[in-house]
Amino acid sequence: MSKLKNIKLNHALVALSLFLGGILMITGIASGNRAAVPMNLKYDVSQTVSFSDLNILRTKFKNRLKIVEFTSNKVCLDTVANLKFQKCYSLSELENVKWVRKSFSSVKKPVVIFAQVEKDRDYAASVLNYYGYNVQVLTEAASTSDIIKQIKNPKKEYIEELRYSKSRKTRL
Amino acid sequence: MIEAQKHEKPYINPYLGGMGLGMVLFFTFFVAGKGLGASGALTRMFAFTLNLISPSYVAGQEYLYKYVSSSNHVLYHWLTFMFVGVVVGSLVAGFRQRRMKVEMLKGPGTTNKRRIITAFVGGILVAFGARLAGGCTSGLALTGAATLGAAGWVFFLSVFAAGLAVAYLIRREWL
Amino acid sequence: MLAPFLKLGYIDDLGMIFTSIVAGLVFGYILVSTGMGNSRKISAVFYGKDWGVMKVMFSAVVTTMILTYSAFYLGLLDINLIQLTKLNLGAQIYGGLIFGTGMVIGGYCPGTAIAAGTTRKIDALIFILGFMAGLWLFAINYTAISGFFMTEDLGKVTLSGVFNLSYGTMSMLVVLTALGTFLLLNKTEGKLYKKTI
Repeated sequence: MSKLKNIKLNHALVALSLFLGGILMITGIASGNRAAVPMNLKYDVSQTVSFSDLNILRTKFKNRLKIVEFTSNKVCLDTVANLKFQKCYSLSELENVKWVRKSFSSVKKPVVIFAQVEKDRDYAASVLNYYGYNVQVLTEAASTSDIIKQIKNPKKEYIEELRYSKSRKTRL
Repeated sequence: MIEAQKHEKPYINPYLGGMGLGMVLFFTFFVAGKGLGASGALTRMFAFTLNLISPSYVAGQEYLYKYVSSSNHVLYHWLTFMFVGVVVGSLVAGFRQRRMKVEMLKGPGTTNKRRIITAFVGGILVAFGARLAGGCTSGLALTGAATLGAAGWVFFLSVFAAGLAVAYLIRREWL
Repeated sequence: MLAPFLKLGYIDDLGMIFTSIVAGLVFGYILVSTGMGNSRKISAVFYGKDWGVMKVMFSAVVTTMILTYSAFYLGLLDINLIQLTKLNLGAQIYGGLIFGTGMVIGGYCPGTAIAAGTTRKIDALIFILGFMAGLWLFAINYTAISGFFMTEDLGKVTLSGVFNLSYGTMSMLVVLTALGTFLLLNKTEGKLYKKTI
């Protein structure tokens, strides 16, 4: 009796695997190697920062963060400040998950996002949020050079704060 | 087919067992992005013990040194905790299914002495092969194959090719 | 994307420890329950006498694969964050050949040896001793070995990439291969070595 049960069970498992495999194959053909379910794109109000908050963030995370500009142009117009944590990327790169994971290797580092076009900024922020990053959206419009200026010349009190916090050994 | 011994409970359906393994492997993927592994745990324990005996020796061995010199303690690792789980899980199953008899499992045509040699030599080769390939059946073959990793499949095929071929040569030990 | 939680920072070290212990528990339990803690049963796979090892492994691979890629296509899991061993043909082929030789001679692989050793099988404990000896031999000759056996690092290659098929299609192919293999196994169990010495 148990042998019959075993056979029936095996038949059921075979049918199940073929069925699921079939669904996967159809999904694969339709959607290639990307998720078939559209991304749930949004980000919180709590994830916004203002221009003046930038320095606070930098001291809080001891420069272990990223300040990123996204542009819908192919190439970023303003020159990048040659700082490790300040970057400019093209919006189209976000389509490639592997690129995202490579460019933003640590999920813990906050990513401050801004763009010249508000729609681009929101899109980039929600995509990175979806992928699990600690996204902070720069709400005040600012040009790239403004931001670079601010990064390179923070207010005096922030310099002190930054110097003090750098001297302590800590880990994120 | 090799059945469970008379004093033990029968073995469970291998397909169901495999499914259970598959589900727990998926669980580790989903939660931690990592898979199973056994050879890694043994390697760490070996490096740890050797380091206790002679840290200077381990420092001179590039391959072992990298285990003991990382920022975390060599045993503070996903695989070590998994090892603990495997031991406990095996104990529970062993007691419940009455498989805890002390014995030397061997083929019908061989002796204990020969079995000691084959077990030891087999262990040496398996260790060598596992570290060279970068995993063992659980870490590389199972985890790798499930993620369609070419490395896992290549390893798996090589293991079976060699096993099938060598089996013939040592058939006296097992048949 | 919800998962994998650990890599995305949703769970901490404690969660990692808990997960690996639980996974190990189930792993060990299933190994012993299916008879994988028995060197006779394991070595029998290389004689076509008992295909249990193949049945367990293939079922596990297919199950995980279906679950993983379903989660991926549902947008719940980022497949790029799952560990994947880099392809190095020399390492995996030579390593596999040596491993397979050891596995049929010793009758165990590392995981099963641990399970068997825990259930007091002496040959498994000796196997583990041999394993340690092998580790030591490997470590002292590491530079020579890696130079001799290892070939070009091909990076994280998937079958999907090799055959230029989507994950879904490749998974279905694996399912079909597994089912076909199971059929073959059932027909040939015990028939390979008819005459023993």
